[in-house]
Amino acid sequence: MTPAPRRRARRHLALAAVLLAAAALLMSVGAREPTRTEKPDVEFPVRMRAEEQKRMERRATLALPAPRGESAPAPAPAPEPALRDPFLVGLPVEEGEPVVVFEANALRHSRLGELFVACVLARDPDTFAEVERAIGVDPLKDIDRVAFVGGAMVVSGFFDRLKPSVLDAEGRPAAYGEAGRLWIPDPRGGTVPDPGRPAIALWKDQLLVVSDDPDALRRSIDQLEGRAPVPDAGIPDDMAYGEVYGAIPGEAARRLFGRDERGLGERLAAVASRIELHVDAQSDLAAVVRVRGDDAEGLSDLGKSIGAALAVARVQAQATDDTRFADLLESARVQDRGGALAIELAVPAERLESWFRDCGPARARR
Amino acid sequence: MIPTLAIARDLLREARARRWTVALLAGVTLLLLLAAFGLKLEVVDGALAASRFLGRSVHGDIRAADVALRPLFEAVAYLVFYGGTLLGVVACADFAPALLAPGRIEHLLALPVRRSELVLGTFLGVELLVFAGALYGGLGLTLIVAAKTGVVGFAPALAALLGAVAFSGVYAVMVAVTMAVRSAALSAVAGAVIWVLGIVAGNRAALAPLFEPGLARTVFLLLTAPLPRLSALALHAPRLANGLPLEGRELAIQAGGTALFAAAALALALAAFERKDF
Amino acid sequence: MLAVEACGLAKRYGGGLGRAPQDALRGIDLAVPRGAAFGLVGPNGAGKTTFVKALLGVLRPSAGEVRLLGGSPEDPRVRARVGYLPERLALAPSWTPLEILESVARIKGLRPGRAALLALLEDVGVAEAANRRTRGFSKGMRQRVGLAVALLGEPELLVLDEPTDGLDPLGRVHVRGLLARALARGATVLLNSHLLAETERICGRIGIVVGGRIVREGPLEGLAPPPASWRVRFEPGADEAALAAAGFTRPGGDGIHRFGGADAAALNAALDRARAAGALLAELAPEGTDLEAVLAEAVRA
Repeated sequence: MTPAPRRRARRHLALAAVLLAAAALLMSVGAREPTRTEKPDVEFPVRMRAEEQKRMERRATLALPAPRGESAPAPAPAPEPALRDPFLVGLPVEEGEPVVVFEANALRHSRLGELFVACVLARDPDTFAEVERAIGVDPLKDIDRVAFVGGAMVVSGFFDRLKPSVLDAEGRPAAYGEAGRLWIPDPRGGTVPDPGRPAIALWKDQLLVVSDDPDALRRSIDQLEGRAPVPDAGIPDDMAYGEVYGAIPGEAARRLFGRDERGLGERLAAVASRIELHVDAQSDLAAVVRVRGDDAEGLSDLGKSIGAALAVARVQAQATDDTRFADLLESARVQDRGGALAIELAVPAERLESWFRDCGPARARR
Repeated sequence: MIPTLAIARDLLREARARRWTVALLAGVTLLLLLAAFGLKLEVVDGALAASRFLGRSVHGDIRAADVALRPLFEAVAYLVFYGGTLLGVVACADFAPALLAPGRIEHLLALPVRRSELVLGTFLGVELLVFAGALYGGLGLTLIVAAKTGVVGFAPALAALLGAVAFSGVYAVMVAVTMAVRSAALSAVAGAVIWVLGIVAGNRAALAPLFEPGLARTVFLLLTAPLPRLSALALHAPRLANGLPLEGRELAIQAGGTALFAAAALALALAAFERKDF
Repeated sequence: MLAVEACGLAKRYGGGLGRAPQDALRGIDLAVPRGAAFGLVGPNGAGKTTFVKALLGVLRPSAGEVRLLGGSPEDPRVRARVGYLPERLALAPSWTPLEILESVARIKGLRPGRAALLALLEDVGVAEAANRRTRGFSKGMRQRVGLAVALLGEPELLVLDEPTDGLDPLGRVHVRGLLARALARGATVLLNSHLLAETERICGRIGIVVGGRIVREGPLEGLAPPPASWRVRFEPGADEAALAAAGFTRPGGDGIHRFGGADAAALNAALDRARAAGALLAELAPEGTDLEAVLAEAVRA
């Protein structure tokens, strides 16, 4: 071969070697962990987890006798009554009233809770300490659950250090039942209720009930001590999963919607007999809303409307830079299961952390 | 540069008349028509309420249309990437051997075109052909879905582009082999081998522990080091399909590395071609 | 100025795996002036096509130097001024002649109009098939298209390897006309053909290639030895005795007379004596001076 082509061939070989080495260096030295193609799967609270099952069993400490009526004949040899969760038993639920329970202690230790508490403490480190100083109860340690039942609030926890002055401000306590105490405010210092101030009941230093209606307090203690039946409209023990859970009657659902969505609220009330809510916040924030009803076709149409409404809301949130709401709605979906709709919404843990990026220790570090 | 483009253009014109090309085009078009007429997507106020394919319901969830369509875009992205590159290996294996055909190569070498321009023009023409084919399929489906739902997903188009980048590494090896031995079958086999090795190389970190620590693992890592990371490159378009941001740095490294590998293989091809008599 | 210069051009093949190397070209020197028509002749396997390919850079010579039109054949600008018709021509079967010419024009940087391309195809005799795919073309038609490709852009140097291969006699006449026109405009023609008559008619200079070398080279008249005798045929009825007296012998019974010697004056005097005796001359040709004889002698040497 004459010189020029031979030289060219050698040059090309040398170039090939250099390029191959460069390729190897670039791709080997520069490489990192494999690329992730999917967002992490969010686990939705659709059934009780093992740890929630154990929690339920631990809480079942209340042995409920059969309710005694004056004219009822004494049942003969009644079986050993099942143990129940006193908190759920003591909820003064009335027909048509919603009930929502917050597992405050579990929330405190969830990812969302940690971020929230860190954010609050970053703004004011004494927030929770001041509350404890004021009322004798550490909101981060002594409160286990909080339930909202119609107009009442039920709190479970440790109230043995609750300052008497907090309760005595509502009036003198009156004993009720075997272990209950009532504080019903009376402007004249008696036991006549004052409609402007809430009444408080405390049962065994572990259950606090606050309501404008003193009868609700009495009903709660009666249920706990077996003098009144536990209402069916409440929350059964096996429904107590997630960090937030609740049951809302269809009729009550219309009150959840604002003026703009009133039509949707009316339709929901028309087809839904009961709406169950579960929220899991342990890692991701995931919510499942189950709408049950007898009208399958109505539920199916409602599902499409809700799905469309969620999609529109997401677009509006994106357009207005409401990133948190947009994040929540990104994984929203509606599943039609014949006699029930399941509406799922979630925010992955990493997105949750971005919500609190400008608050808490991350901000302090910056 | 102009002779290179002229060679590439001639290759595309030749491809137009080939049965393989026509058959592939017809196949992809048929799939697109199937999607256009067989896929029914019911969108209500931006939510995908129902989807049916050939009359059969595909899924029952109702959710935001762009989120609901992510799995579809992801699947199409994988199909465009892997299907496009593999079909390219099979359909384009004989372009380079045809360039060297007796009676043709003598004529070409006597024209005012350098040997390097012949090789690069052939390479460029085939790259454009494969890219155009992949883009046709991916973009076609994107447009069909956009027309039906208003949702535009760019993952298939990105997959076509990344597929062309990946194919550059594969085809450069096919050209180099052809310059050594003029055989369409051998060229196709070489392309298939590099295609498989590229998938292995993309997972080398996960596969390395399968080898005994020491010589075996070192040899495996050394041999796979310069190979294009095809399976890693394939992941970027599905990532876009699932609403995740592109990992620019990783993408640049993998694409750049593939381009360097392709350039190395082409340099080898040129070295072999320079020494060849016809 | 020279159109083609080759100096010590050599090509060696093989030599590995215990096989002896083969020298296809053994140091060829050649200089073809511009405007000349040079023919390469030789037996099969002599190295003619190898030499042509080495000139153009289609194959890499093992040694030696080549210059075409004053430049290196490696330079695309030089090759742009060369038109080449290879011995084996493969046309893309799905292309039409017009498309082939357009493609080559693009590569050569030419911008001829469609009319000019059609005129070129008309020149070579395939205009009616200009828009037909070459898949169904005969050998002759393909050869004509190849010729058109070589002639595209009126190149200064035409290198044609067996240009009339596959053409009928009329086709060959046509090609000779085209080459004559190219020569008339100043082009140089390097022709490699096994058709000796063809080469004699077109080329003024001949190179005889035997065993990888040019053994004889120069103008045809210079290559041919002086004629040893003349072959003469008279019309029937001529006086044999008078013809014999004039010096015409008749070796065989085929009606052909012979006149010995190369002297033209003696031949003419003898013909005058024969005509004076009433003989009528029908045919006169020299014996032992055509290219075939030259080639045969060169191979034997």
